[in-house]
Amino acid sequence: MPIGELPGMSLLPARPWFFPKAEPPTVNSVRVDDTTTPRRLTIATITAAPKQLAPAALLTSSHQIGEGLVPVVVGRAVDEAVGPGNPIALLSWIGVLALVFCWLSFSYRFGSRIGFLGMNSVQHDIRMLVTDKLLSPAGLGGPGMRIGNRLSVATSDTTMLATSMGLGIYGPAAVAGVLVCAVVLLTISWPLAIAVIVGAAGILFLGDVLGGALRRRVGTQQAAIADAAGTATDLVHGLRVIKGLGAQETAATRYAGVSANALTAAVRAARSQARSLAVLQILSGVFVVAIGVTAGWMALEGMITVGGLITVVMLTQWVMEPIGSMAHIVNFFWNPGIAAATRILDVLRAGPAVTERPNAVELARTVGGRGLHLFASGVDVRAAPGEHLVLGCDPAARSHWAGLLARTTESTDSTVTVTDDGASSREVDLAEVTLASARRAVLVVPHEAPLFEGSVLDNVTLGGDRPPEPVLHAAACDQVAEMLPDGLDTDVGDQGSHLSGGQRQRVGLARALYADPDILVLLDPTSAVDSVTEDAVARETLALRRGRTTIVLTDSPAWAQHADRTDHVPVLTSSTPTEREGR
Amino acid sequence: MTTFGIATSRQVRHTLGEVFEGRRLGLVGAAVVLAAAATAGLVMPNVMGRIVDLVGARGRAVVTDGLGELIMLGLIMVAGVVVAAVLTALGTIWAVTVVEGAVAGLRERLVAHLVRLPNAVVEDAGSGDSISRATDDVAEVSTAVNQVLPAVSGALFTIVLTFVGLSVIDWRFAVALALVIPIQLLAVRLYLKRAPAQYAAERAAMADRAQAVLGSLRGIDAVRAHQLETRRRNLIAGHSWRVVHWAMHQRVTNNLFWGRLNLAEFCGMTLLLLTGFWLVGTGQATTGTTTAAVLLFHRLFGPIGQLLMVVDTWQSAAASLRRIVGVLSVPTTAGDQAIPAQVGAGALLVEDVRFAYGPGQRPTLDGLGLAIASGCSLAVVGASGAGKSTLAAIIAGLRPPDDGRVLVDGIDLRTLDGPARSRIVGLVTQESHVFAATVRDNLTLAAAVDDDTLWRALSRVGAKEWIEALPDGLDEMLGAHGVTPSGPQAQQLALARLDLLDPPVVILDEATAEAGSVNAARLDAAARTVTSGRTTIMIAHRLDQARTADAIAHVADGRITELGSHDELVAAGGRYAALWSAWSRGRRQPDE
Repeated sequence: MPIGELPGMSLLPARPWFFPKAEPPTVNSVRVDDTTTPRRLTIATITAAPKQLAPAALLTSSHQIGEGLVPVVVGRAVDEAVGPGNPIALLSWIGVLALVFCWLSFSYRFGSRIGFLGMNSVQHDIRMLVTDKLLSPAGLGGPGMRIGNRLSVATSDTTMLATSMGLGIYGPAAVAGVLVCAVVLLTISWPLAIAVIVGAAGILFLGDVLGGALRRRVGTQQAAIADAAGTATDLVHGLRVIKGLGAQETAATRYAGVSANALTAAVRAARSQARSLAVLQILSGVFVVAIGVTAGWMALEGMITVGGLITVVMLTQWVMEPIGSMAHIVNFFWNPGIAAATRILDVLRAGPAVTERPNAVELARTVGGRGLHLFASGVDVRAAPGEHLVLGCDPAARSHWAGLLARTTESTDSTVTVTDDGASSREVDLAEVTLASARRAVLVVPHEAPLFEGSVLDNVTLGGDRPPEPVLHAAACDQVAEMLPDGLDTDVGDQGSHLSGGQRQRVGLARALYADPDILVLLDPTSAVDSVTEDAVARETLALRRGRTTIVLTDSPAWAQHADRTDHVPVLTSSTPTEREGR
Repeated sequence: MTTFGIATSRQVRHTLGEVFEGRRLGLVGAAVVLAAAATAGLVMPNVMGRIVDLVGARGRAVVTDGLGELIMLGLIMVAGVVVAAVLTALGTIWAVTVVEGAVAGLRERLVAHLVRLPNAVVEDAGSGDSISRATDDVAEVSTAVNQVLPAVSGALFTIVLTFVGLSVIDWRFAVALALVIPIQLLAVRLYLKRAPAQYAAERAAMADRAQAVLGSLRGIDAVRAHQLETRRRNLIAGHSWRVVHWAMHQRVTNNLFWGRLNLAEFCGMTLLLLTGFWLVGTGQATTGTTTAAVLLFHRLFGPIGQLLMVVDTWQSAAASLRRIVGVLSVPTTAGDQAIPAQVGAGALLVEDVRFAYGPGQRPTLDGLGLAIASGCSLAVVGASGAGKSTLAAIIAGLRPPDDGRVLVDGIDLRTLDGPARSRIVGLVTQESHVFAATVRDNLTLAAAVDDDTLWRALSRVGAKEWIEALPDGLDEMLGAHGVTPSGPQAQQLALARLDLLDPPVVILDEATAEAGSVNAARLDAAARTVTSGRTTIMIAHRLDQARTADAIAHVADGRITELGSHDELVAAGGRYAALWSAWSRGRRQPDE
């Protein structure tokens, strides 16, 4: 769906100013190298969109200055118009007040909007940087990471990191607020100005000290809530088991225990939050009272006017807000930003699972088959161009060779070579070939063929326009379609959940056959299919692949029966330490 | 797929009434304390006005002890500040305790209800929907009430009491300020016209984005094999940018709202100044009272914005509440015979069972019937998609048949409630869930037994060795935060649970299918141990396993087409014989 056709366009204001373009930007503005620290990445993020950041910071600062001027104008109005009863002065000051409100209102409106646009553009940018890394053909080396964690790095962590831009947008505004307060107070009385700024800074410091303990409590609370949510998720996933065991009550009781923990933590966090808030409220209240009483005394002594007194009291009350937000800004923007940057860097700086040699060669496209040679100590398996070979092997050996054939893992003691093209018999080490051409030449069908959103047909053709019928027939997908409500147009559901395991397997096989690679590698491709269908699939698939090299790693005799030749790969005796997690 | 419904406002009110049952007094108490706090908060601006008056009086009369009175007023204000802060803290703690308690009650009800609901209802709705209601929506409600409650009680009281305070100073100030209320209401109305739908669109876009990322990560092997990296990237980029669009629309709406509030602030301030000018000019009020009025209103800027934004939070909480109550409103329709029926020997009779996955769909089971004598085993074979797993789910009571009955020792399973039924029929499927809990908690779900019994069950399924090898043994955490057992190990645990449950009838639905050749033999042995002496239905496409059963039923088109012993069926030369010959071609049989 193009962005121009969002559903519910009627919800939109006619022509909003400062709006994102229809297409996402293609350039990454944040760069990461080996020396990047979480701190540096956060700073780079904050400054990644200077074109938005600078006007946004200016405008939000201007908004705070406007807010700070409201008490001044009101004080002057009371002083010069209400007190002496001067209607001209009243109208003038109301006019000034209107100007100040226009100023502060428009400054905020566009400051916040431009800043938000910058923040969102940077967020999108970082998300795509992470996505590119996660989907990189070379894979991610290092320790494996759960898919859920990767998802949260690509979604919530990128949002959190980009939100740190708020420091650049709202930080200057808070400083501007405090400064305008100081300047105004200086014009009234310099000792009061110093007292207000010093006192406010002191309260800010105390607030931070109190906040430390609070953050820990809140952390515990969040962990307990996450625990409860995790347990609920776990129970729903295991619902079949719970039902099967009649353990409904046990499960509910266990959840109630976790939920009670979350409740205790939440109440505890609320208590300490309420306590520290009360202390802060008393401190700042007493501070405002002290300033007010002092200003009152100064007015009594004739050192300042009544209007000056009003301005001082209103400003002192008001300045607590920008001061509070200065403390808040660090906790809200900087600290979470650093935490998110750390997790994002873990992904971005992970080395590749497989490396492409600098002098990697491109495999020429062939029309005929391609030969294949698996070589390791005790293993010497060859497939001639166009040959159909069934290899029996145990699961460990299967995933070892599948990883090397798919170029998702590397090994120092095993080698896979392919012939350069159908005509010559020159062998090329698959590890010396570019990733793209290696995967074009050798297609390894994952055992649990994952499906993507869309219909059965979409999943087979992947957007191609050749007729799919031959491969659908070979993989017995025509049978699958007969059982589905909308035939080939049936939506496969989330991760193919609308299909059974055997159906998914056959759609995955059809997809691979449709791709028509020089060398097709199938991993136990019919393990979830009944034996009659399996026999038909094996026969038809290999018939379709006539003249094209096909390797089936399976113990199933159905494939062996229709193949040209069978061979065996011995059980792997030693694990190869150089092999890396290829996900 | 039929997701859970959305509850009506009446159902929501009813549920809320139940959840807050016994907590109402606490809620009222907290509100009273917070109101008292707001009252104390009004002391300071009022007294500040008195100071202004005191200063103003300086010119007209001799102030005997200006400083003394100032200090007195200062002390009163400090008292007001302290009382307000302490009462706010107490009221907030009280309110949070009550409300969090209610939220915890709500989420516990929801999860308890989810596990009690018929399995088919939850599975048809999709586990994603159930999970998001049990986690995201509960979190949404919790966050919202924690924001709404202090905002409403604190801000609302502050606003109401400010009006009271203004009326005490001079009722005409209150009237002047009341004139800006329509502007604020209009701001809220205009905001609510757009914002909820924009939020909904933004969340939907976020869900699409998460789905695109998750789909790419789960299918990474296929992404690499088919070189779909660029295509998946562009899909994610499109969804990500769509979220940005909706977020910006939301921000524009938000900006307009705050702009209108600014207008209301300006009008209010101007009206107060005009009123003050008139009252002071006609001698009906002092500069001090005008000051107090202005100070009171200036203090309201924050609370008013806070209160109006609550409308927004409340909207989203209400949407979540509707989704939660939508689950709670689905009745748990299983049989109600809670007392476990006399557990017999386990003679199983399936009578003319019919089932379709939806009205108008092809029937998956079309008048299927079978009988198994107690202690005997039956293997069910047939093409994939023939309805074998559906049959297993119906016999296990996970799905009710559209027509027909399942009887065990003459008892219709539909008359029993869940726990009673599962004591009669136990099921292990191919995908066995391991709970994120200790080994012990994973097993005692089936039966609360001592460790010796657990170890016995583990050794019967061949899992004793690897559990013993775990650093914490039975106390080792499994699942997401601990050890992830391999597929065959998870199946062993499932079989151990079945053994502990000890039902007379067991169903194994491809329970040992994907084990790999080495593990298959071990798992098959475990399955044989667990099923021995029990009435067993075994669904298998590995026919070497099927042939060990006392009888074999071939299922096609929702019916049993062939029934007999392995040798009988092979001799009959029907479809089982075809399956068998396809299966055994090239396989060496141990006894042939």
